[in-house]
Amino acid sequence: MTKIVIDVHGLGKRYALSHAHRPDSLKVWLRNAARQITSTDGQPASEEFWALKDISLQVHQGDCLALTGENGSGKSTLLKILSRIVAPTQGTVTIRGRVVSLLEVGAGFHPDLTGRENIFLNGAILGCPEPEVRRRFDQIVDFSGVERFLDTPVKYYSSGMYVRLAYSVAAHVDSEIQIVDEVLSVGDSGFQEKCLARITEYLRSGNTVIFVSHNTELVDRLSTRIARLESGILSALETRIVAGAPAPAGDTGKAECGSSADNSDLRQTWEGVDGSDGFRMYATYAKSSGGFPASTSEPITIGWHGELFEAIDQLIGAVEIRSHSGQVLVYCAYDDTLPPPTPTVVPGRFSWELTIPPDTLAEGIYEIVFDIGIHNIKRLVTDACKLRIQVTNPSGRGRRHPCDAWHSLMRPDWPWKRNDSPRSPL
Amino acid sequence: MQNVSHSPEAPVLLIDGSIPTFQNYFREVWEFRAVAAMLIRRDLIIRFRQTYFGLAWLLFKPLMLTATLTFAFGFLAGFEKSREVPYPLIILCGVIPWYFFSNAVPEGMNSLLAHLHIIQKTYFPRAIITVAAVAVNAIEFLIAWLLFALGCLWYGYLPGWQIVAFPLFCVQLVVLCGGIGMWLAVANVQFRDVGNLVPFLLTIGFFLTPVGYSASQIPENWQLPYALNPLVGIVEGIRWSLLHGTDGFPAVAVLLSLVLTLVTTLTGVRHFLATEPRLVDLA
Repeated sequence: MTKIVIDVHGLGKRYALSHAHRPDSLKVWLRNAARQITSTDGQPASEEFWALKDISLQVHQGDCLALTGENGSGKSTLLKILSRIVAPTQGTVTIRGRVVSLLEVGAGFHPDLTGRENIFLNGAILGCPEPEVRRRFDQIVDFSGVERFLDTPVKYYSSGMYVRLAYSVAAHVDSEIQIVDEVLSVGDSGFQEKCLARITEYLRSGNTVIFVSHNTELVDRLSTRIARLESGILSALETRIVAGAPAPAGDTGKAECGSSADNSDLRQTWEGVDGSDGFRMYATYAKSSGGFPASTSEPITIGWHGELFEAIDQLIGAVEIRSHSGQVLVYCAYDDTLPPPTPTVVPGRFSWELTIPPDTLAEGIYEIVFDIGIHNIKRLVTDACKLRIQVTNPSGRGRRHPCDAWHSLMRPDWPWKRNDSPRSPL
Repeated sequence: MQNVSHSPEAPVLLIDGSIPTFQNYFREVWEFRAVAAMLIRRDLIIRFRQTYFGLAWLLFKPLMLTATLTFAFGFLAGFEKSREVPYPLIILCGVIPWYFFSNAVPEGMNSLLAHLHIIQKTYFPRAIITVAAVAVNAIEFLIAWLLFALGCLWYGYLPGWQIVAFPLFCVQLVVLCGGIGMWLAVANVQFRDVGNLVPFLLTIGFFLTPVGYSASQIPENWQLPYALNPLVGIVEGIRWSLLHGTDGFPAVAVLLSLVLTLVTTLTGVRHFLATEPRLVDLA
């Protein structure tokens, strides 16, 4: 389905608070060096500070991810690592696609150059070659509304004009991913609306945006996912359903939409051809007697139709249930209860089904991912055939103590046993 | 940091905080060459905007230095005037390279610090900034040779076949300035002391470089330590190439200077690449 454009894995960034690691002058550096040589333990006294610690998250194409958190929670550090301004201490980031980062509007503008000259300079810094800037020049100027002052050095610009021109350049540079720090809070409200419209259009054409904002209204309006950082740790990752949001690009499977119109990326069935080597997947589906969104108190059946063309030793057939934030909740293979070794599976047509018992999942949105593969060798299908279903709780079961919808991802009906010895009332 | 693959539609970038290889780094510098061009163009525009004499400044400053040195060393110190080459031309061959060196090195040194606001907000290979700072001065350096050409016209003097080596010495000098610039640019971000030290060293360097005099005036047993200044080989090489090789080819100085240039530049680039990922943290 949608591809991962940014894959952050175990990211950490450490700063040394003490001057021992960050000498300002040769004197301090020499003194520290001398101390290190003469001291017995050889360790300079320094305090470590992790601005980010063990951050892992994946951003899919078409996502608009908002990073939230208090000042000093590590949002900007994360943006700076994604923009390659600072290097991570640990972990990796893999980015697929051209990135434009706007950590500060007009970084790289030179006050003595005219608006026209700065458009080209800033375009180059943002990775846009001159012919491309030339082609978009009129668009950029139009968007900024500073055409009268194009040949005036920007040092004579009002701050609003400066910001408008700077944002216009960045907004018109070709990219697949935009990384934006608190910069949309600039310009007058008319220009802000223009910027928001531009970002929405950008997202609609299948691009990805990561932004930091303290403006909750903006976060509500734009983001499809929210990552919350607290003291450098990813404390919450939430997927939101935005009214009228574009369906993620590449999501071309047949979608049987749920009752609510705003859950347009839900999908209970898939038909097509997926698979590799000797296996082909033709259809996957989720069924519930009451239809979708399914009730938590009804069983949900998940199944697939496929075909095997050559005998496979150690064939795996499994279903993975993932939460809205991508966390794997359940991995369930057809032969989990059978003793090893797995027998060889012979060619033929397959129709396998699995039932999730009632009262297992809590209210929410879940991804059903199919894992057909050869044990320890490779997976034979892709995520193209995965499903996304919604579960609601109309009966109110398990709601005697109401709590927030994402509070727990599973609500199994496990038996309780009470062994009380009530005291007689006084 | 490295580019893992290079398909036009979806470049894949891996950020892991590692030091880039020479090859990957230079590929990226090439991708961002437009930035270098823009920075050079910007600096040239800035330098001459709002100035009345504009480009004339380029020639005026070395000319004044030449006149002063001709006066100081030619008349006061009473150095030999009986040579077949006009004295001001000998001086010009030292002044123009020195003038370039003494501008390019501090500007290369300050380049990263002066662009810190850009470095902290946007990414492109940082070496571009230092290279551009040196390149702007290199362009002025090349233009400044017009002064020498005018001097030749004035004195009716024509350089000999040795002039073929002239561009090589110029390239070597530019590379040397780049190498020193890379060393100092990084050092200056880390230790601001460097910014105080270098102008002082340049003042000393002026007297240890054959600008107002010729290296042949240095006593025999001091020639070798004197040639440890890589500028000695370059300036004397330029004099040899433009002035008919009157003093003979300064082989030892040129060779030594070549080795020093290569060592300085290679280690400079290496150190720059190794420090670049931590640059913003160091500042």
